[in-house]
Amino acid sequence: MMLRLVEVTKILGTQQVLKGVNLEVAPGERLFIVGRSGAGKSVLLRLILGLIKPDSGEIWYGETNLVPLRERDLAPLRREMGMVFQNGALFDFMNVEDNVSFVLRERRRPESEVGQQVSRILERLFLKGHEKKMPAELSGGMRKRVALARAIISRPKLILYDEPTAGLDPIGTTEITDLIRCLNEEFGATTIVVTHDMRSVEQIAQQVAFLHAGRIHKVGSPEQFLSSEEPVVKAFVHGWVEEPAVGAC
Amino acid sequence: MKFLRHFGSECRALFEATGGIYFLFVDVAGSIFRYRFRWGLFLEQIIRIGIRSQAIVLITGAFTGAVFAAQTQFRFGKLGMSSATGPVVSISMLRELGPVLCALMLSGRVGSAMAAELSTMRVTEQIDALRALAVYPIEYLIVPRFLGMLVSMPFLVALTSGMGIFLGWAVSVLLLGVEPAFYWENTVKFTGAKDIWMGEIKALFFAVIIVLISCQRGIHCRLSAEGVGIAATEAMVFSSITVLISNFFFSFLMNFVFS
Repeated sequence: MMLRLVEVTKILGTQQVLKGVNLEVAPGERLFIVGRSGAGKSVLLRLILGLIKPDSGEIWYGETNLVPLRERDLAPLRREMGMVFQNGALFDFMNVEDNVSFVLRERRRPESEVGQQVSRILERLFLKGHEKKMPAELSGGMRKRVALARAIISRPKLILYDEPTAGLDPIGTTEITDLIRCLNEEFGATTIVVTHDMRSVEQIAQQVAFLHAGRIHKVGSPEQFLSSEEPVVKAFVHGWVEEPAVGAC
Repeated sequence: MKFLRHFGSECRALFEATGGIYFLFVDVAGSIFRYRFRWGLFLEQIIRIGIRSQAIVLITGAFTGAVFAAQTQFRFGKLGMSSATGPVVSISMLRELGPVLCALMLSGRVGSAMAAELSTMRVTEQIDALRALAVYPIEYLIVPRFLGMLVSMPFLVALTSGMGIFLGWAVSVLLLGVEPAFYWENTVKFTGAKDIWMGEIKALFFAVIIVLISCQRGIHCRLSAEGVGIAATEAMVFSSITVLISNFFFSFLMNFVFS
């Protein structure tokens, strides 16, 4: 297994967000994690990347348990991972080109190689001609694509996407969804996507994990997930509410 | 009861912040040696702190020296002690007013900017993005600021004090008619290298105080727009207060050391 989470728990403030998450991800797999807002999906990604520590449990990346590792020891493993943050998290003091080339320059790749790779990836993600723009000058969809370019330029083995299509119009959503699939197929990187977007789940997911009440409630293929008869899964897929919201007409 | 609870939580916050600043210092000091030196970012900070703050500290030093010289001369002149104005101004500027006023101006101009910048980066997940890209934020963001401040501050303090002494001379001699030969002779006679050293050592301490408090506030801000504002304000207020309080102890300590 590429990634294995064993009984992972996490308390944020006074709320226990994760109550014992168990999850396995095979190399090259495209796993979509779905669940209601506040279910702890983004927390799960941050735990995998080591940005926060779990209160208990183990997170295995290959043969290494990430939990006891210090920040310094996590760095070599993070070089094999990439993350696309929900709002892009682009460095606002750098232009598009510098944002994308940042990782390569940090790893002291030759300038000629950096230029070539940046040019190639910007073209691949339809960002050619926007190299000198600052993040504030970009649309939401472009910002996501720049974040995507920055995450994949170093060819990571594991790519994590936090709500990659949130806030995008239908065309932007399709573009990003297609890119995620293409990049996964091209690079063979293991891909974990946290999303609410059931259309992208239907279109490109290979496995779906449903996070509910602090645990992975169900793991299966998109077909199994979408046709599940379990009430909580069904309610989530179809957007049914158990009780009408207070004040609803 | 409510007051006690509030007082307790304030004390706890103070201890937490103090501990945070200590651990940040240890981390920064370790990172200076552990990671490669980033010349580009360091020079950028030198420009931001050392060069772009020159105008503000020059004005601060100039008018403080001028007012201080004028007030001293108004009183000393009546007592027939005009020749003492020069040494009083120069020693005060070098030992106390120069370092403290420069530090206060920098905590407002540079400290709050650092806190606002870092807290915005935290709120917009840019610090997490750095970590995700295997870059240690302390090394990338704080070490250059720390070293930039450490290098710039002694120069800025020297500028503040120098400008204050110069304008003190101008006001005393050109406006208030103090005999220039007496003024300079006594200034040089009673101002020693230890006065300069005291100011410069203080400058280094204040640089450390301002940069650590500001960066600590910035990277531990609350995750909201309000949190950014609070971090910037607290950076300025806490570092100014710490500079003023620590200056009292530094002054005693250094008078003892240099006696």
